[in-house]
Amino acid sequence: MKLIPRPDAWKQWRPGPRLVIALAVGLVVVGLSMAVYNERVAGDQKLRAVTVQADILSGSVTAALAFDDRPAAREYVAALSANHDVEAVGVYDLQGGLVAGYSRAGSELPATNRVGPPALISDRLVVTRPVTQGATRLGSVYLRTISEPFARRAARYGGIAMLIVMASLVVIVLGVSNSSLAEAHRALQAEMEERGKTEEALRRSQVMEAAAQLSLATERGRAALRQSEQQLEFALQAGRLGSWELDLETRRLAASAFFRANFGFEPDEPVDRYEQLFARVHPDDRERLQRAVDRAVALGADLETECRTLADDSEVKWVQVRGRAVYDDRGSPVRMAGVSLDITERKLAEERQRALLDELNHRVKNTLATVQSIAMQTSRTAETVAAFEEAFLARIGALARAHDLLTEVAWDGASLTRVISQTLAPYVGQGQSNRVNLSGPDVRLGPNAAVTLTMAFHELATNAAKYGAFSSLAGRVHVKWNLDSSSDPVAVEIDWRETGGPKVTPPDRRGFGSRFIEKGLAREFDGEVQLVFDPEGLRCHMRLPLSPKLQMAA
Amino acid sequence: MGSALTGLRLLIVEDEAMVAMMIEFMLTDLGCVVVDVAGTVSRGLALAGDEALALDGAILDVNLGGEKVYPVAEALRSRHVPFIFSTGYGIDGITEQFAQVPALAKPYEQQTLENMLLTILVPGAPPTGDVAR
Repeated sequence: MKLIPRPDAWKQWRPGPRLVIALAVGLVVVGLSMAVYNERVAGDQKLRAVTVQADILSGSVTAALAFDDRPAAREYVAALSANHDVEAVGVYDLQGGLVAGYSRAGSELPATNRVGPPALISDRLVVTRPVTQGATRLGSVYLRTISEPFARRAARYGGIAMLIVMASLVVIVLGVSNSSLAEAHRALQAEMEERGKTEEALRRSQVMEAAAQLSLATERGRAALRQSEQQLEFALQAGRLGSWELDLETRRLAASAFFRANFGFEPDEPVDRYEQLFARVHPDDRERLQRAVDRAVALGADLETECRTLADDSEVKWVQVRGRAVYDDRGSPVRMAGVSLDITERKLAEERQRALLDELNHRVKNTLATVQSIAMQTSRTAETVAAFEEAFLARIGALARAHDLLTEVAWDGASLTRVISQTLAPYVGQGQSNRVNLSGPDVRLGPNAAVTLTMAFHELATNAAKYGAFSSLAGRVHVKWNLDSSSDPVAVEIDWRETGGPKVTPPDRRGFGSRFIEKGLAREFDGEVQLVFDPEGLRCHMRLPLSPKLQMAA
Repeated sequence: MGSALTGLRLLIVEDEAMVAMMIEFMLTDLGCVVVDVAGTVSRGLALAGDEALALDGAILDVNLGGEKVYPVAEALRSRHVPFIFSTGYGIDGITEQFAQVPALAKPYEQQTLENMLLTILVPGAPPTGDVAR
């Protein structure tokens, strides 16, 4: 803040008009007094000077008078006449007669001289002195000088007075003007001071306004920036995206919390070096990540790569990293920025999908192999094409139902009860539900086990329909199973028993069905299976050890 | 049937009864003797280690109900018994250790099986058809 400097006090003092007038009057009075005094002193001096002259003349003419030497007296008178102030000089004898005299034109000498005190007669100073020699009086002298005329003196004093008055006036005028000037100066100074203050205030208000506007603008800018940052942050968080920026020269890394989390860093762990990040990448993926970064920088292409990260726990995380390089005016890469996303879930889903596809392919191939096997063995045993067709389609149908069951439970643990009841269902007519009697605990079958047991029960049911219980109305099929915990290994015992059917006779030769049940089924489960051709009805005893494909339901 | 494979004693390790029966059927058709069929790894190991069986070769299903057949393959290799794989997963599903072992992709024809068996069991025997690998 700039202030007008305050002048010193003496500089600020200015005389008032009254004081100036009083001073002027005082000057006039003093001037007049001095004039009067001077007049008096001048008169006295003049008188003394003239008296001295008269005395000198008196002394000079003593001898001339004593000896009546008139020429000598005239010489002395003539000498005095050189003085311009001397108007008349006279030397008189004892009787008062003029001995020698001089007078200027227009003036006269008195005829006789009487000695008296000096006298001033109409501006003329008249001094008379006696001429004596010792005690003897010889005569007298007369000296008349021209005193300065009153008018001239008056004029002179008037002039002086005028000068004094003028001086006074000048003083007054100067004083007044000075005082008004001072007033004006003070006013000006006050005004300047006021203006200075106003200007200062204005300047300050301008500065403040500018500052306020700047601050407002800055605040708005900041607010906008904050908002945009918040929106970005929100978007990043909503998308669970990490953000990162890498200085390509210094390899300094700026990473957001999500990014750090993606790479398995603790929330408060400082991460600012590319090397730190690199160390957290799975060793098998480091080269690929570096190649992708180098390629993106070199080609100006988008970086998009996936890598596994090493968290402290053994859990493998997958992170997708996207980014793009930023170049300076000369096209040199300066930095790289982008986002990261935890894609572990997606990767796991992809892996699951891959595994499912592999599994599907495997099952399709296995199913085709099964169909191939059914076709091959049915064809070798069928006596006619019609018999082949019937047997083949029935077996394919059983296989299809096994797949239906497995699909119901997503290929995970089909129920033994369902496998048997579904396989036997086609042979149970309406109102004949008592033809089949099932009882046993819940046993879960793996996919292969479900297919194999379905095929086995299909063969048993087909045989029953041709030669056994299902071939007569009175026939019954009982299937009972239970867990034999006493055996080693623990096994599921399944008993198939037919009753009420025609008398059973052992077949001449073993067909595909019986071979499949006795050998195929037993070998698959590493168990034992016996077919007993009891005349009262066919019996089949299966002893299947528990295994991953054959378990008791929880 | 007069074939170079006649009388060769073979082991089948296959966990699907229907498929195992088909392989058995094919091998029998080729004149081979199917010594046994194992449906599990443990049973397969027991048979592979049984010197009395005098195995000439084996056909191994890679996946036995979730279990890999490789321990059986190890046992056979240690006894210098040649074998081939039979798999529904494709030959890419076989571990590095046995990558050189011939593999049959299910489903396969009898001719393909015969050629592969000739290749590994009868050195110098000309294949009777295209060798699938």
